[in-house]
Amino acid sequence: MLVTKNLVPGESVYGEKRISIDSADVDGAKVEYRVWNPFRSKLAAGVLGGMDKIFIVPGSKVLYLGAASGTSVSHVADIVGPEGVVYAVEFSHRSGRDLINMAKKRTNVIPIIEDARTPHKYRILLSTVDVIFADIAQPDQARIVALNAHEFLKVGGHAVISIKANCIDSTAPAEAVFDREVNVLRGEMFKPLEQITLEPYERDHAMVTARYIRHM
Amino acid sequence: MSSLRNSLHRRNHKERSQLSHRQRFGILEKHKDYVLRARDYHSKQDRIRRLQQKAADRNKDEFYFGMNRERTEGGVHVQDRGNVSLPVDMVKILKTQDENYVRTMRATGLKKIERLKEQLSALADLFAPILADDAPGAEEEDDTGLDEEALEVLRDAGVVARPSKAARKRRSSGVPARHVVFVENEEEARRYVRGQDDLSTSHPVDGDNVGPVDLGWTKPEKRRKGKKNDHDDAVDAMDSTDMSERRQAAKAHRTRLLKELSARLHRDRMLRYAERELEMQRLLMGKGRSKKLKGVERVGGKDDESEDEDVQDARRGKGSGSKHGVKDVDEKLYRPRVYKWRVQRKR
Repeated sequence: MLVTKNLVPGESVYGEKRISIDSADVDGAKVEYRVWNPFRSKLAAGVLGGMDKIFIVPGSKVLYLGAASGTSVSHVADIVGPEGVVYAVEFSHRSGRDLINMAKKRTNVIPIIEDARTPHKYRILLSTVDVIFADIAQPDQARIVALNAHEFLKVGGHAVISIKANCIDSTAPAEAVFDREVNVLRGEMFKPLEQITLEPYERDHAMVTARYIRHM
Repeated sequence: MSSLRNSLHRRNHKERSQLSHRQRFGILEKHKDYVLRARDYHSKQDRIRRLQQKAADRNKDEFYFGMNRERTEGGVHVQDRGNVSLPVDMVKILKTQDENYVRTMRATGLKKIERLKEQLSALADLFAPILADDAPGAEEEDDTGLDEEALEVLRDAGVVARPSKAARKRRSSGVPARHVVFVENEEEARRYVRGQDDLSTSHPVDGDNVGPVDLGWTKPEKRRKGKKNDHDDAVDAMDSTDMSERRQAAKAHRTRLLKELSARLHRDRMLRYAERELEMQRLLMGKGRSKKLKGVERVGGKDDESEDEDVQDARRGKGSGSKHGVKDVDEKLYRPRVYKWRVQRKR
């Protein structure tokens, strides 16, 4: 079971199970954890699938593209803790509403209801980030990630991208699609580090981590 | 003593029973059994003879006023048994009640399915045993205890991932491409591989035998008293420090949950069919003439090829199975009847 420590104890974001454990060192203090469902979150699927490093550490600044209703974003916010920041970008208004409600509780989440294709529109809200996590199901997602990276990602920062083969090219075999995306990333000054498939949680999905080396 | 001498021979004589090689004919009939049979037969014969006599000396000109009401069919007096069919409105009401009941049962079932799915998704390594064929040689435990039907139901529901085409191709070609690491040159590759080995060896090899590390947590008290008995075995096994036992207990728990989930999914499908059927019947009772476009169909032609032509000829092409000529509806391959109505105002 994958759990994250709850930043807002006593509350469930999307109805997930919470586990309260009595901590023995501090008497009376209960530590609460929230179960992270790998079927609903690609990042959890990647972690459980055996990704070596996801580069989202406590205190880091994360740009989350494709935040949807904020279920995964809440877990990322739990991981980065109160010192870190999560900039959650989501274009849909309906999901954005849920995202904003979630961000009301978690103060380290900054919701941005804007198209990720136009990063200059929300450049005022962001500072340089350490990690970009992208879960956008668009055919040109590599280009979108690159645009955001050129604007916001620090040099030596990392990008973690979830690729859905069906979305990019439904006719080509999944392996070929993943290779193509990795090559696009290489062209955009990224150095790919790892790629894993998200079986058995998702079909024909892969997660790719890459390091941003701005100067080739 | 004289009384004993006399009474000894007065003992209860037992009846002789049916011979063992004739047991198939039932009990051996004695005179008292014959008398019963004969009396029954003769009384019936007498009754029949009396009725024949009465019919023979019938007065053709007899009249009773009750005859105005009664009916005959082909010279034989017909009497209805007094069964009136329910009026259509009441039938519709009853059918809606049935439909609502089925819907309620289905809703409760769905909630239970959701809860089961939640429990299952909380278990991280759900699929390692089931997808044993995906990782060749990695898992020695490939028997989850689930039969093919249950697995199929789970796959249809999307609970268990179907091995994708890529996975199947991978399996056949023998190249696992699950985890790809990009490195610049061979030196880095060798370093990475060595790094992995170091990691795996630096894991305490006696980690299996060392008990659970004390992280300073206290176990939460079991709040629910009623549910204590269900999880006792699993919990006791979890308490034991032997890793293999805990793994066994976890696997058993997992299998149990999956079995229950597949059974509940199957039940949900049957209830859905029942609900649909009741709704169809209610609509057919409504206004407007309906025309049947398609009967109950059996999807999937595989069963037709299994019967050879002689069997079909013997049936004269009517259909398999039941006596009344109704096509057998296979539960798995059911496609409902299709009707078309003439549009008519409801009121």
